[in-house]
Amino acid sequence: MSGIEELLEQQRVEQLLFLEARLIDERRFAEWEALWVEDGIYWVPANGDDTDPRSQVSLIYDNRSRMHNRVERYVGGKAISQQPPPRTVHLVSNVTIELAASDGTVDGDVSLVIHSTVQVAESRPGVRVDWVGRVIHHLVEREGALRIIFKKVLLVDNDQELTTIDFLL
Amino acid sequence: MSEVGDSSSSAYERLIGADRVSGRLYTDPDVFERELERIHHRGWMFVGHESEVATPGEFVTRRLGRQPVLLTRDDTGAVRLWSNRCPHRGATVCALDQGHTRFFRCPYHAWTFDNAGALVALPGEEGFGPTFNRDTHGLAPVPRMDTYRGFVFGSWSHEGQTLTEHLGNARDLIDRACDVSPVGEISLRAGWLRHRIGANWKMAAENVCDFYHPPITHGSSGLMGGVPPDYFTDAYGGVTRDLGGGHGEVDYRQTEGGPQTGLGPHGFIFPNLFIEASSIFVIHPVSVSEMTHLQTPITWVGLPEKMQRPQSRRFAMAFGAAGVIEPDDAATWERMQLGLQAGEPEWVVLERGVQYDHTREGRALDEIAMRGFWRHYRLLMTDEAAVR
Repeated sequence: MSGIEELLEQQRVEQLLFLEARLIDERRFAEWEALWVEDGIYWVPANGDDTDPRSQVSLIYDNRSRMHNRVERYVGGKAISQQPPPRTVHLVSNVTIELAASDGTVDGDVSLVIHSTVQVAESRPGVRVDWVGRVIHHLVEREGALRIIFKKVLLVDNDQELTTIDFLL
Repeated sequence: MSEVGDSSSSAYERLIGADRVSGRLYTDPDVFERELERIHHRGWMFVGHESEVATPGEFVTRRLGRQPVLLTRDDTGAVRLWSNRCPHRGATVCALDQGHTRFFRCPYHAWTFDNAGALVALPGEEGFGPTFNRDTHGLAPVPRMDTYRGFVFGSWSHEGQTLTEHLGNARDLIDRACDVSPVGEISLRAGWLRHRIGANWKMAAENVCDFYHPPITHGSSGLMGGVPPDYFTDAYGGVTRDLGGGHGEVDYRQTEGGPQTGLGPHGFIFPNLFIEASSIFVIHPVSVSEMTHLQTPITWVGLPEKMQRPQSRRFAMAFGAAGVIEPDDAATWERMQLGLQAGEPEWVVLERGVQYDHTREGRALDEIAMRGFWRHYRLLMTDEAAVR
């Protein structure tokens, strides 16, 4: 890949991550869901970064239908924890690209492994919390567009007592 | 403030009525201090499960009331419970949530203890002189520890009720939780989710046996889909039971199909343990307006995977700080904590099904177990004999 191509690839990936953050903050959840492929996994581990999600508890371990259920809850008007909804601002930074080919642990049609950092400012009545973590996205090329097949958020304090997380990280 | 803090038993007798309690009991810091002294730092409390320290050398750290403790399994296989505090200068001897070790070494002066609590090494021991005795400087055991079917309980009081006496009728809840397993054994090794909530601990305790709230509070969860539409009504046929000793349960075994929410019982063991069908919850008091809610799924030893898996999946979706059930409970309790800052009206209402109190068993939605909680609470907060 030439230098120009690398720059374009970097920009393409960053634009996707920035768009994802914006869709969450603007509560455009249907568009957020559309960034995902059908077999996507959204994972927020607890008690460490490298746990086994099948045998250990996670804060979030969602397949696509659970992601849908989660965001339906946000907009359904019945959730007390969404009255009013928490306001969030996501700051995405430190975006680096690893080619999947260099990562033997990833299989299938993953084309890119993206490392980034996120800081989420959360505000709800009486509460103002900053959430910070490293994020790993696996992206695939589907129908000419990059889409998310895997997102893992490694909260810096995922082994501590945490207040309610009723928004997308 | 406080009428409550300044006076003793008679004030509590007024504040805790048969079918109402004062909102101050959730908001007054003096009440909270008295609760710690008379409930959490005196009576029995659930601290963990033997399966969490399944092999010699394993340990977990917890709080028992406000105090840090260390649950270990020593090299002989015995489960032990210690103050997580160096007997020398007071630092915690273990900073990790869990792990495996033969020795705990204080970071300050390297006093080192084996997993049976004995002081086995310290630098410059000779400098302490000939009268220094290692044997009197081991880790301090929590005064009383006992177990029932693998559930470990501790008490900071050297005397008082036995664990068997404390559990009373609530032993049946533990039995039923264990007996889902074909070998009568559960395991808690999936780790805990620890949710910090800005509300008084008693709101979580009372909520266990409140079946009036689920279709409202949890209407958004998407987990009500499999439940018959009249499940959370009295007509469906479940009952709620005051088990005495502050313990209580909601029991749907007599209804067709039984409990939908999981395989085990749904009940509260005073003052901090909630057996939630397929999960274990622990309520840690933090301050008058804060608690931590710990949650872990139950694994039943020997239960076929196909019966276990739906329970694990439900836990993953529902609970913890980012579940679809738990945040709505937390938000409700936080709203209560805010609302109760209003001193008028003084009372919180607990009238539902009061006509059944003499039988200790009411309809599914009745507040009978909550009144049982308060009856026991009142005894502990007022009984001079209990003070010694």
